[in-house]
Amino acid sequence: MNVQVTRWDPETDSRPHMQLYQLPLPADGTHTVMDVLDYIYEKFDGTLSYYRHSVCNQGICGRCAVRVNGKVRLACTCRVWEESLELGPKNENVVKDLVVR
Amino acid sequence: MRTAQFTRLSCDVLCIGGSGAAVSAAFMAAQKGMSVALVSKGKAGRSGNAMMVGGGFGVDGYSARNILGEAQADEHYTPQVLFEKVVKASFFLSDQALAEQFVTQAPLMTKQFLEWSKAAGQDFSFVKSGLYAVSGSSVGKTIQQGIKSITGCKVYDDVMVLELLTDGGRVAGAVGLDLYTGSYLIFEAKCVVLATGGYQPHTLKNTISEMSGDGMAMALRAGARLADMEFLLYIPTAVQPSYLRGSILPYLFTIPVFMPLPFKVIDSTGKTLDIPAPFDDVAGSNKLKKLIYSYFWSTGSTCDTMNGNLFFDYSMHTDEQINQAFDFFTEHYSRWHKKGFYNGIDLAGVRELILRERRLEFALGNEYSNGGVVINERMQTDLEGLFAAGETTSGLFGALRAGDGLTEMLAHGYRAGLEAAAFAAGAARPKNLSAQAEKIVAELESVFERPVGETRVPMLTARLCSLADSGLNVVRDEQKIRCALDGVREIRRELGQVGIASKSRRYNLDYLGWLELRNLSVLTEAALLAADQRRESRGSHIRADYPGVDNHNYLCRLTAKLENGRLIQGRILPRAGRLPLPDQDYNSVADYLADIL
Repeated sequence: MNVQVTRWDPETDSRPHMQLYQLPLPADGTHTVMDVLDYIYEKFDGTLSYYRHSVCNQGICGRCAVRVNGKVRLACTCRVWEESLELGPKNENVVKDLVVR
Repeated sequence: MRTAQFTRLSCDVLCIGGSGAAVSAAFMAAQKGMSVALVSKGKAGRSGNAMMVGGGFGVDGYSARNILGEAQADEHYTPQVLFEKVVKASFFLSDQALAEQFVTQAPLMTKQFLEWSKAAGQDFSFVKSGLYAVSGSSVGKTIQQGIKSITGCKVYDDVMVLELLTDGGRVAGAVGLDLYTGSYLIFEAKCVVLATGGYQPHTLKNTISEMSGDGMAMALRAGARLADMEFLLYIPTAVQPSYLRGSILPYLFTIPVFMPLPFKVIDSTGKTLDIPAPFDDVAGSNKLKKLIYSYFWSTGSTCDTMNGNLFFDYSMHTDEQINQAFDFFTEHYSRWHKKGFYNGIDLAGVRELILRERRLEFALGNEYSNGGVVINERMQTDLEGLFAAGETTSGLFGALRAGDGLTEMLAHGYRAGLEAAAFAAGAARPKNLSAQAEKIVAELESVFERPVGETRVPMLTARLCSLADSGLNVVRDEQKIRCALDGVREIRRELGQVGIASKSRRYNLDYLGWLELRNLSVLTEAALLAADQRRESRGSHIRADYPGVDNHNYLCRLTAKLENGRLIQGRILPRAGRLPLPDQDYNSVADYLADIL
């Protein structure tokens, strides 16, 4: 699976850029966007920021929303069926990467 | 070197936590005229373990009728009956003064909680003797309503409190990290209520992700005792497919009033794991059933039941029977969730999976920690100026929780708020605590100065969870406990060397993970020490090498305290009250349960 993630630290970067990660996860609906982000953070890139503190992972707290291929979705319940995934922040008030105010 | 940013804030009562215990305490303290600040690691009302509730919560029937006005409540289910249920299920480790407080004061705060739920438009239906059926989201919205109703309460969301601050030996504030900006907040208060929830050291999570036991670890570092850390409660939890992982749907499937579909349990070797009489007749909604499942499914299998290997076998049912049961389950939960969903899970997918495979894999996942900060019935800890409430405490439920976690949260929050207000009324404002906070932060921030090696923070976290799975398994033995203990101590050493991948202070997951692991690792060590020392089985602490319940030697609570960086163990004899302490031993946890059923 190819995953493009919007990266941006407004404190140090003048503008956002996309970063590509290639994951050996099947795009058959068994994994969620949160699984994908966890995989990237844990295996590849410790500098990535996405909403991960005090999450329910069950679609209850509603705080982990990101833009998935253009549409706002909860990362924890959005199942991945596509080989190509584009993940971005859900709005423009970016704290860092996919985390917004 | 970067200069850390600080903001100083002041209040009478500081409540740390974002769920029902902290909000109840803040509400009661504000009612007494105190200025209150609530600081929450997530968003207050949308974080904390209360939001993960699956079934319901309740009080005794007599109080439900006479205090809460529930006309159909069973008056024969008195506070005394609930008290005895809690103490007996605790294997008599319950502090009976705390159990009295629980049964008498929970209804008072529950009344308030129900008012919040109505104002928030949430449906808490009274189902039987004293029980309200709820969902996690309805509880979350009710807590948010509670926050709105607190006059003048200042709320600080997404701030992880790192350490308690003291003034002349009294706890008088805390320092926290704003996770979004990376700046620090210094709270100065007349006293502090700790309501930060439990700790969850295992790989499989059915709890909210913030269960790193921050409050317990902070209290420990400030000099308070923890107790009962070896008692962790387990329930059937989904493991796969990945999108279902961590869901408590398997537990709900065991309760016939929710899911009328009988099941057989087998393990991955194909062995059938039966629950023998008289335990098979215990109602699925009875809290003792959680231990009955853990006990028989784990002692009966040679598989590791903490990460899967258990299956509900539905092969005896026709498609029609499965569909009917799923229709019933879906209808029941459509009261709170989008039709066809349980929380964010599409039930049609789960139904298809079961129709196709005729089975569902699950594990025994850790749901609740009985252990925590030692308190008395006034919610006072060992430290002056520090009160604690909810799952972060210990003492009420002992070795096995028979009451509801939500009810504990309300009973404790109620009393902690009142006691904190009374304390604050007679206390002076602390002096400026900036220097103390800045020293703590400077030590913590030194982690950013270290080089990043091959070992990364999430790897250490995964290792700790794996060690907890082994040493704090549903079924334990000395060799595995000691091996895990060595491993956890090594992780605590490595925490002093590991680096942080990004130097940015904005939402830095490595830094957050490091701060959490610093807390979770010391708590796991305390739990393993207690599990090692308790050479018997009691409640959810089941030892393969010491299967008997040994009241002659272990009818006591095991405590831990930090002295010069080392954990020192101690004991507390449980306080007897209306029920005398037993002196009879039992051959097994099952024998004890059979006696109290």
